[in-house]
Amino acid sequence: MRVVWRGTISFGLVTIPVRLYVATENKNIPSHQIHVNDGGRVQYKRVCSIDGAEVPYEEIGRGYESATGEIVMLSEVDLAMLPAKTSRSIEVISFLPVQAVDPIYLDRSYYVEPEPQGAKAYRLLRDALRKQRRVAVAKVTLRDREIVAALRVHGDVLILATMLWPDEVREPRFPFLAEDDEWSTPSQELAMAEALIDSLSDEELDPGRYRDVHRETLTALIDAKATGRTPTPEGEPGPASRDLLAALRASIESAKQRRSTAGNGGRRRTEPSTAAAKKKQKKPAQPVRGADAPKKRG
Amino acid sequence: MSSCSDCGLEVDHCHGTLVVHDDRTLDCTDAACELPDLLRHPLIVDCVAVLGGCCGAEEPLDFAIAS
Repeated sequence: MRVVWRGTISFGLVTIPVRLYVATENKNIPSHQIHVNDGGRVQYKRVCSIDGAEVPYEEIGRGYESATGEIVMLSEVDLAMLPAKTSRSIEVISFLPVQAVDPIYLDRSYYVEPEPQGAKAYRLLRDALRKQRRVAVAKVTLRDREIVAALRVHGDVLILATMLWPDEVREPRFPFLAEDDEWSTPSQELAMAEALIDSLSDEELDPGRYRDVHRETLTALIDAKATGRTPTPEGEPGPASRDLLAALRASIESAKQRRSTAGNGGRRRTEPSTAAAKKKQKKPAQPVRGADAPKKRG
Repeated sequence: MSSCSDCGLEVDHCHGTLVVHDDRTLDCTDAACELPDLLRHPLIVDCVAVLGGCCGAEEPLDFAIAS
């Protein structure tokens, strides 16, 4: 990992010098645009629309679109006038319970590493956040733009998760929401849905339980094509059930069977709902082979 | 890390142009780019700026429905 940002965390009167590293990476199999006639890689060149010449990196400026659609060029001198331009600080402004941050506002995650002289204060902040089960909300300037971010504990390190501004989260305007006032959830279906939720519930997320089936099958497909073999087609998913109650019953049975086959692989909730308790009266689920096999996509 | 001889930046970065798509996925125009992250790229454009965009209009998804 390489450092992508250097600065400080300001926490009251405490200043912690830190570095940021990109915390996540996409494991998609890289695909490239190719010229289908000869297999040549398609490349991008930055070309000036006026003189047609390729523009070197150091000659590329920034043009911003105005409200009227006009492109306005802003120089580094112009951008330096923005108030937060010179800030190199992650300024903690408040603390929130972990569950108070709606994940929809979280954008990119960066590992925060203390500089050697800041390790003691870093550990103090980390341990206090962990003990209080809180995240720190902070302002920080990244790439010339001030944003809000959440500092939270992940394992033994702090993560800076950049956050979206409220107007960057789209408002869901779906026709069905307008009909919610007249909607009354059928009690039987609701009980079944709760039972299904209980039967699939864990206390903690275990990402290791999930496989990237798309990547695995794509790798196999690429390998087959590269070695001249005939790829094996994926099976078609079965037709979707149109009976909600039947679909819920089948889902609960399926979940029970998967849990039974997986043994104690998944931690169950300690207090199942009434609906789930009622379901326990039924006969125990039978183990099935391949219950952990990935579902067909569809 | 020593500073970049081309631009003087002292942190890890890429001189390719990062393209941000509608679904917030990121692509870099530099084939040698190791990590398409916003912080690593001084040059960032929306995919609309690349030949008018590549994401197209949003289309309804075909979900399996139980009623």
